[in-house]
Amino acid sequence: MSKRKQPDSKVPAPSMTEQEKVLYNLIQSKQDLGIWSRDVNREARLPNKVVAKSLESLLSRGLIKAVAHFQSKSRKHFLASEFEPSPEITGGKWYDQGSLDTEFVDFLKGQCLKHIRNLKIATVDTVADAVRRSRVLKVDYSSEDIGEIVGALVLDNDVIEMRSNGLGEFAAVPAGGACYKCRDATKEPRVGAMASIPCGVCPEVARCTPGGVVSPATCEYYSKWLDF
Amino acid sequence: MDTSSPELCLLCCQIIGDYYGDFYQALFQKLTELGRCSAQQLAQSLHVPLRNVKNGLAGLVTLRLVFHCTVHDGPTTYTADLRGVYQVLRIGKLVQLAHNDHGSLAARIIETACNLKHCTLLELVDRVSRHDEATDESTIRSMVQALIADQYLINLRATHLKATSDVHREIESSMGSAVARITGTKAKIEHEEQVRLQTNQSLDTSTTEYGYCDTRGTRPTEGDQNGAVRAPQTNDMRDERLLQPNLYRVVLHAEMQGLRASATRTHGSLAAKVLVAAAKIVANPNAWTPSPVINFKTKSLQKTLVIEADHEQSDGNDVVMSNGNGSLDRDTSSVTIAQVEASLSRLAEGPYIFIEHMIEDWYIDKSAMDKYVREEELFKVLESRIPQPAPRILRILMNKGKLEERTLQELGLLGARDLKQALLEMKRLGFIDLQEIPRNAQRQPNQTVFLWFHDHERVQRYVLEGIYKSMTRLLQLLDLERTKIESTLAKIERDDVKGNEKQALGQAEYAVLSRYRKVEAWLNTEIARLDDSVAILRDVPTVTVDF
Repeated sequence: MSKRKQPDSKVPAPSMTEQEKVLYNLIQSKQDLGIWSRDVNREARLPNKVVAKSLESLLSRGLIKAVAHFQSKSRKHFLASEFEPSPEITGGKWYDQGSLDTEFVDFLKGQCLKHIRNLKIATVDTVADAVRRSRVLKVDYSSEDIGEIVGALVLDNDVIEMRSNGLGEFAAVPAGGACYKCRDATKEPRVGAMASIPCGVCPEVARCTPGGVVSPATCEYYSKWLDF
Repeated sequence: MDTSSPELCLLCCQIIGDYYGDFYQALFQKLTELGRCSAQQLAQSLHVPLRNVKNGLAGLVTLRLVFHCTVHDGPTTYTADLRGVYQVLRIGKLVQLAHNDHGSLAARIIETACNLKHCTLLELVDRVSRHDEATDESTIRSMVQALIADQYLINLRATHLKATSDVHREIESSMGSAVARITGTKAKIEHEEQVRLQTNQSLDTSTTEYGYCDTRGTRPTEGDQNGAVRAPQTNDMRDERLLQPNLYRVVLHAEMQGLRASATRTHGSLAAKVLVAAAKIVANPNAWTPSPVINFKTKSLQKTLVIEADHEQSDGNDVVMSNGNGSLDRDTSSVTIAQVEASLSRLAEGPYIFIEHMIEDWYIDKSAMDKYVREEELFKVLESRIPQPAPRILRILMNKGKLEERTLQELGLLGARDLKQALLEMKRLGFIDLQEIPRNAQRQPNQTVFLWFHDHERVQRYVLEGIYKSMTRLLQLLDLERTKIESTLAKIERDDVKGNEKQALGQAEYAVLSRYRKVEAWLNTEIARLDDSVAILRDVPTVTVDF
């Protein structure tokens, strides 16, 4: 829901030129999505200099505000002052001043992983409830928000996504519902065969040839590796 | 198998040099460079007398390292058999597997079969009994029968001694004028499928060709138009039956190990054992016959697990230990049907989506299972080279296809800088690539859409090239270490020193020898581990002709 302040009847409406009115109405019509500066020129159909001057005037009077798009800092969106920018511009709850708050996201991932481990088999809703009950967050996050974090855990292979069959340990989850389970962190992490030999991680492997400057005979990594 | 892989050619040359000597290595190397050629061409290229080249080629053909193609209206030509050479690295594993499953006699039989490459049943029994006078012939025959039943030994057919391209060509020429009349894409696809099916049939080891391969000149028995007879595997113990070791079992073993490791991490060791037992029902050790979706009942799986547990107990392998989840890891000798059913249900719910349950039966889609194991192996390689968020990005690209950087950022909850760094590193290592789609003819960067994507087959080839190169370096390193103590190695071969090295050699020399043996064991272990990755990435999914 976009928020709109009721105009204060005691404050007289600031006088605007015709061009400023056109621009203000255009920006206001876009509500919380705002309008890109480039699109303003196109949709207002006013000369560029007039548009630039009018926008500057509206900004200085506090009738509109400029918000940087989270994906491109140079891209400005103009919104009427009474509206809060939409998550499509700011990036959503995980973004802080246009940048992803990686520390916060990592913290939330740790919390979700802890609750999934405790619950053994968890759904997004049960994880969100557990996070809320733990009161570690000042702001309330919806199940969809927590779902994004759990999705990131699935992509990181820390958590497995499963379908409930409604039986046994899945009894608490309706059949067919998505649920999550932790991978066993006590097991040794899987290591590829290439990771245990110098060639697998060597930065010069592309240049390595027998008899060349970089070769098995002259390889320092192998000398250290075989030094036992 | 990708015969155009330069690293595989180098690896095979190194294997030949290590196992069979420099002359064979030189011949083989020249063959890989020239492709298909005649003995005369080889002799001219190598500046070696033709007689020597012919003797060398005869040796390589006998060792099944080179294919030869003899036609009525042309010279005999030779092609390098890269697969055959690579399989030399797997002989030790096959012997070990046979030892684990059937004991030391089986290991000796398999070792003898691998040395002979292929032989008749009589030759095999004769050779084994000559080296093992304590064991009587009937025991050896029984063990050979057991190995045939377990598909450690399979039938040899004439097509196994030919290059795949030659088999293709023969089948096409047998179709005669029908090939020339084929027009249209659909007809060509059907024709290719027909050729592929016939090629697989001609390579199928569940049949024999007594009419062709019978060295004793017995009358061919009734069979199909190729003279192939579908002989029951275990019952036919005729002396003239031609056998060869089945090295595809090593590939299957690697796949089962991969499944076991994955399932243990996700569901614990009992579920892992259930999964592996179920996968073994589906897995067909006959490399040329694709496994269809196969169903099985929980009861038969439970019986298999109990039998396996009894077998392990009789070998003294039964150990009860905690599985890390806080519960005891029970041996499967007492596993119930309910437990098996519960394990299968849990496995089927995720991420092992290739298991399905329908009414009373369970089904496993073999091709989906192969794909899962292959992807797990690829991620294992990636995770060991680049830390997070690279695997996360790769999973997104595999699931969603081609994406822009912005979309990746949103889907992966990644910071712009971390994402860029990971993308560039993955591109440098060849795991992903970038596609440019210009919006207009001017191709300006600000009017171009850049899409990141992951080409699975290309990445697999790239990773395999890296593995081949690493294996080559390990073999070269082993060769260098061997060269350093050449004189000591020659000394310990003497009859008066053999078995008595500690006393015969000086303390310093013995220490050097001990160090060399440790290095040799370590390097061979690493080569075996790399071979497991090759087996999964290259050999597991491709159960058709071109592998």
